[in-house]
Amino acid sequence: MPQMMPLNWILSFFFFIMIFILFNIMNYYSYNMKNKKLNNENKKIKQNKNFYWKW
Amino acid sequence: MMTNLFSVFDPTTNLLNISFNWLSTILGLLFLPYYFWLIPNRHMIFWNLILNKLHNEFKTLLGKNSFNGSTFIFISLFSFILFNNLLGIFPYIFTSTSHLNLTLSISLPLWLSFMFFGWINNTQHMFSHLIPQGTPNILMPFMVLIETISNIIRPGTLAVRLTANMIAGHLLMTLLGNTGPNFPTILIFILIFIQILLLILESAVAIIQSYVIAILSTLYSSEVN
Repeated sequence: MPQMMPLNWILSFFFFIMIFILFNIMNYYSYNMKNKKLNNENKKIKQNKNFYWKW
Repeated sequence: MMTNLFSVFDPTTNLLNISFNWLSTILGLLFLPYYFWLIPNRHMIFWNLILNKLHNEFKTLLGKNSFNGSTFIFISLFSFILFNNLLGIFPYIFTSTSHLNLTLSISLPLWLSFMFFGWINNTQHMFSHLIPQGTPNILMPFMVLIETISNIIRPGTLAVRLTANMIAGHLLMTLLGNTGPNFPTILIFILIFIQILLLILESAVAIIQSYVIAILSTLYSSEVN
């Protein structure tokens, strides 16, 4: 495999870790916005005050 | 004529010895901005459904001792590998997960951090893992040896499993595709049919392997605390 030969492992390691962190960031801020009007009928359901994902 | 099976991806352009092929790793990120639209859309709901399912599953696997948000990194790992695997099936997109370069650089730091955490914080617990329950006394030294070895080669197996799975399917499709020009016309249709079947199999493998690597790293992390 020619593309495997002169590989800079350390540099590409940092490259991949950076991309992985980017994926982490993007996933962290993905959330489902709750429609409040739909939930008005049963008010006992607690609304999530935090917009980002509650782990 | 291809002299090498992988010569499609020969690097002709590179920056600091990193060929531009590797940029395909970022490609998955282009899908994620859909989830930040103000109006809820299908992408968002679908993706959150998957992530929540995975979150619940990993949470049960990690057990009660785990920290609160520790499933997050594995879910991100899943999405990272998933996008790379799935996009790699498309023609002329470089599959970066079919190289040990990527898989090792993901699995090695994960394993190393688990080991550091386990051996520093729960030393007794880690030692007790070296002998499974119900081992006869005579076998104990050997079990320690075997368990130690299996613990050490874990990042390697994790990386090689993903790499080998990705390479195998692509290799099969490339080999079959290269026989096309020599075939009679009738057989071409069969070939294309088989190729489509292989493609379906590959897309299944892409999803399954990303799930497998996420769940295995979850299991490894659940062992250390």
